Amino acid sequence: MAATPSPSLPRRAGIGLKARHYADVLAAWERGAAPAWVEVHPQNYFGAGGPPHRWLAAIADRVPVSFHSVGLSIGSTDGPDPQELDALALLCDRYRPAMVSDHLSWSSTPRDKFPDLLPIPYTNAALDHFAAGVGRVQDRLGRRILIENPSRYLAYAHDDWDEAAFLHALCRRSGCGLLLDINNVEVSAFNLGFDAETWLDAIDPALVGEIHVAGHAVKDDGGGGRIAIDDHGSPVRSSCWALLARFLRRAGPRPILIEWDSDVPDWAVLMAEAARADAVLELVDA
Amino acid sequence: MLDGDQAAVAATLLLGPRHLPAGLFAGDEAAVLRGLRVHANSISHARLVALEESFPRLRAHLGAGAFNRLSRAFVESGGAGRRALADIGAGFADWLTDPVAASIARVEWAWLESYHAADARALQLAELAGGGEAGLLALRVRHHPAARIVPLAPGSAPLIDAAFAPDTAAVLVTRPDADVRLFAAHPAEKAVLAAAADPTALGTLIALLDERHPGGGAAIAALIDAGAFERWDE
Repeated sequence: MAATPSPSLPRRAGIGLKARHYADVLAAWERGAAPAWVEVHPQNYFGAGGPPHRWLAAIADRVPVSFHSVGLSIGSTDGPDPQELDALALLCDRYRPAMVSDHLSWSSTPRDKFPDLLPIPYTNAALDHFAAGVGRVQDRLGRRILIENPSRYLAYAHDDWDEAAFLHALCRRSGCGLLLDINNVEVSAFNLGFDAETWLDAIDPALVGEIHVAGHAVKDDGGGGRIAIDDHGSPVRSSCWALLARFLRRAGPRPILIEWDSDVPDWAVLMAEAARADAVLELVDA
Repeated sequence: MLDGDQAAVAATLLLGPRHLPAGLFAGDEAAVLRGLRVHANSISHARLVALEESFPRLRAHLGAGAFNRLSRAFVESGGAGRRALADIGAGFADWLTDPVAASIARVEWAWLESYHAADARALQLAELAGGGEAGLLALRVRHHPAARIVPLAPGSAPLIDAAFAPDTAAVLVTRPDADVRLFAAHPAEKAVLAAAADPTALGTLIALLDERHPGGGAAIAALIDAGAFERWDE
């Protein structure tokens, strides 16, 4: 992998950038109150031009931008989607993002594309395959990427590894880092019945380049069962803030993203969540 | 092994839980079905929301319930299966059987294509002043990347813009700068934009309009004013 020097993300709170908040970011920047960084789904900017690029260019001139891809489908049997990877590479050349990430998942077969992050088995074969896929992405982009731990609703019966060990092995083999999504840990722990604190305590902080926090929903399935759903549609839960503080006490400050993708709130609500993340960072940094 | 796992999960998501091999996932059957349902719902929801967001005017015209039934049927017929979310509506208009609904959908898709098209400086009428007739006819132009012409079914134009006359036969979609603009157009203008796919002398396009457009070659002025061309100086 040929490394390209890139700007880095501040170890402060950032926000997931939505179109409805473009003008708010620029207005806040004028007042000296902009978020420390923003994150976008690069797939929303794969068009050649138009207003989305004008806004993103204006914002990227002022605050660091992170690209959080949802479409590479690195775990697919055919490996990363070549069209998505080409488009992402073009966008990285255009904006020089401070960070690039995608997910420990797959989203397409040779016949179908699924707009979701589907689980991969934690087997030796899957590890070899996924590490090779990450290598292809990093080679194409000329930079290290981060891989996010998924929200899990299912666990394969033939897994060889537990998730934390699998992620560590993936980072070692491919040279990627870890995007630690603490809300996803909570969702997976609820659905698969493991202890979130134990999971988190097993993660090597040196691998973690960015953290996500978000809200999730817990729903009845109508048959007496309950399931946690990673909908990013509500404030960060108090339990998620507690897990964040627990991890940061061990790891030290990291860039923290407030993810809020559905029922997106007003700017002030989003920035209040970011301020809370900054307050957690200050506490652990003191 | 990975092939088999993914094929099984894909078949289950597409065709239902009877395609799930026994023992693929850990846990009791109820928990596994609960998890699969979350993935199936996420996929379906993402596709339906993408269609809603792509076709707001069609949704308003049909009503939310009818639009939802149509978009579900489109997704379930396989219309979305191989497309990325951003392209999911590309085949929707051609799938619709009602010609008015299809016209509205085509205009909305052209609007989206125009919105995301490459930026380029549009040729302006003011640039043509003082060049002389020979210079004007020889000026080479190309179809602006954000310009589209969409033929309309009879009666659909006022549903797209209340200001359009009912007999409007086509809509010109342009984005010379930040905003997408819609204009009533003549179907002959589609041939003119097609002819300008490669750099072409303005005189050629004027001659084409002279043959096919009720306004004759002078109709080129309205196309230029709308932002349909970019100047080609190379």
